[in-house]
Amino acid sequence: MTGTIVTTLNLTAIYALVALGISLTWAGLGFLNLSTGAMYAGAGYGAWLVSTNITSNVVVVLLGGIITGALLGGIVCLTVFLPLDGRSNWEVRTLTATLALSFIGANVYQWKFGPQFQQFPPLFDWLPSFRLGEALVQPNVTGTVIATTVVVTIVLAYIGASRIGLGVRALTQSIEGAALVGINRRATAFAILGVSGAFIGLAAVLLGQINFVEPNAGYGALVKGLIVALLGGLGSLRGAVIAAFMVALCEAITLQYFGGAWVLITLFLLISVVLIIRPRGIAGVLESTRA
Amino acid sequence: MPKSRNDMIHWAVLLVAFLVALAVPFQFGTLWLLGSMTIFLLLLSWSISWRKGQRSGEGFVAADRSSWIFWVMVAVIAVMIPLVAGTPFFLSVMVAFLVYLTWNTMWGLVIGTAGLQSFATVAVAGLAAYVAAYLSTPSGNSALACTDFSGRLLGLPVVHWYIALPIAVVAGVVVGFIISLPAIRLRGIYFALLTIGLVELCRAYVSQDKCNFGGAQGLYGADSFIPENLAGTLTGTTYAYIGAAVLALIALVVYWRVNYGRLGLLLRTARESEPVAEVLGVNVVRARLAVFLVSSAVLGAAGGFYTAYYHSISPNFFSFSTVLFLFAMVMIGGVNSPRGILIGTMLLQFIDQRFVDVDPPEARYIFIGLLLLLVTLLASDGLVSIPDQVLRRRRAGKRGSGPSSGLPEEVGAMEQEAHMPPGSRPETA
Repeated sequence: MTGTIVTTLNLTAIYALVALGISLTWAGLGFLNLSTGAMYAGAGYGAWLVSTNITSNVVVVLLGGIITGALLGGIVCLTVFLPLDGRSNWEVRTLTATLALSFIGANVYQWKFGPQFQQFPPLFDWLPSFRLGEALVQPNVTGTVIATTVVVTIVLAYIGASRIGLGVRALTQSIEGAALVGINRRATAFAILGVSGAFIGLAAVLLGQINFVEPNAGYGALVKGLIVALLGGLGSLRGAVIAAFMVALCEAITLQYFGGAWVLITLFLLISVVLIIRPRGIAGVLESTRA
Repeated sequence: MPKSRNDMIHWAVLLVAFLVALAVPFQFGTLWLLGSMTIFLLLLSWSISWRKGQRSGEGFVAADRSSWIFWVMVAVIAVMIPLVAGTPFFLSVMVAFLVYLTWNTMWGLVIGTAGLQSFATVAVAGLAAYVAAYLSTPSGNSALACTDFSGRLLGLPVVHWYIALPIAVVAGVVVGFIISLPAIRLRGIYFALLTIGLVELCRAYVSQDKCNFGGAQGLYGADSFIPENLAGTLTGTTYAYIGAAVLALIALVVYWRVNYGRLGLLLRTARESEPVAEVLGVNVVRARLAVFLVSSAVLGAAGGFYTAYYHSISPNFFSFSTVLFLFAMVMIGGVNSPRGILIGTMLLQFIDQRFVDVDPPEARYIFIGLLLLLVTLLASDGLVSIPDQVLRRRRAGKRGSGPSSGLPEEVGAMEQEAHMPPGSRPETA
């Protein structure tokens, strides 16, 4: 039982990160980034390259993932947001363009790094493992929770205090209001996609402690991140955390009692039920009421 | 008469293009017939849209209806192919293309006309194919060998393909009905996610269930309409080609009837604005249900045909790359027009088959991805919409005397858009 709780805690932190990335992009820029999976796998490869070629120092590897993720976010901004901003048929075209990017990404990784599964060196070995009830808390769980808390706190503090963060917050609240007070939407877009890329990159390194890095690793991350973001309600931080916990719990229970093959099935049953009862997720507002 | 002289030059150029397209395969191999005809049809489609647009200023939905010359050429090419390029290999490429075309046209009704972002096409077609395979595969088959296999579900007999095919249609309708239920409440990306999930659910289930669906191997040895002694021969593949062509024709006729009929009008109204549609008295739920049922029936038929042609079906059918490949076909051509769907499907089938042995193997998919990205960024609605887009932009430039005449078009668009929440942006390009 406590084993399930430990797994849940670990997955909650990671899924919340991916969902925050998706949710922030949607709230600030109004499109759903389906290339999240390619960003995830790309950041994983970036951090893996750092860990095999430079050093396996935990801070450096984490930064490697975060920076690669942020850079990939910048690429998404350059190739999807800037060319399509203000064009007709926005919803379908952003969806298609980000899907195209994820298709390109997965094939580029396959070409450059081959189909084999790559494994990170353990990053958190220096942390002690301890007992929680009858379950052993592995160092990587402690490390994941600490790293997530630190990074999310830093980013939220930055968004809360800096000028560019002010722009991000203004955009997520009201596009019209942001335009009226002279916020440069296109410059802020880089910040938004960079931050969401950083979250996704961090998630890739942390999940890399229990999973492998491979060209199609992003598909699972994208689907789970989407499930969490939609379940929580797009644009809601609180909702994303609650939903990440629900999804992680569902996954941990399924893993323990049914096996890995059933994880996506139970997740989709969960989201189908929640969405049919609450079509905008747990904490989401109706799109029409959003300013 | 400058106008008629222009017309003469215009048709002469297209005739030359057609002759060049006919000659290309002699130089580069039979497969190029598909590629060169794609280019020719794209040119023809562009010229039709350009001329119609210049004359009337109507969108290409209107132009599409009267583009009989385009469909005559398509029919000519379809009849010509087995006569001039009849090799079993090329015809099998064409059969696959026609099956894709059938699925994509029906998908176009759902994403284009109804504006519902559904990815369930693959699930409907695949489940129908599985039902047909289950019914027409002998149970002594090694794929069904399983330790606790004790007879078929409900004691169903093994049937021939001509019985399995209609049942696949029924299965398609049933699945389509189930999918249409959440569409009543969910919109946009929420529905997209649910349907992606459904495809994944199908894949996970059929690869788990070894006893009924053969697990990861899938089912093979299903009954086929091609007699055994003709399998792989020219006669056999010609049968398949004719069958697939009939299927694609049915799909196009259904598309035509729905899209340009009353139902299409209702669906487009609901797509543009649901409140307006309801105020006008449109029963949105019933219209959406109808489009799901109609398209699923054809999808089911194509799924049954797929099984009967390939003798087999495997869980790979439900993989995300299948979904992406079909999605790219629909989007590159243009989802809102049958011409676009036809051209996109032809183009990608050609690229996929012609460059199958390219090194590295990923290059082909990277190229398809780049093509999809480029077309999405440049064209508002696929390749076929380009003439319309250019004409619209030109007209917007000419008007020039309005209050916003000093502003470049992009700025005007930004201003207008600032008043809109995401997801309800106006048509500005």
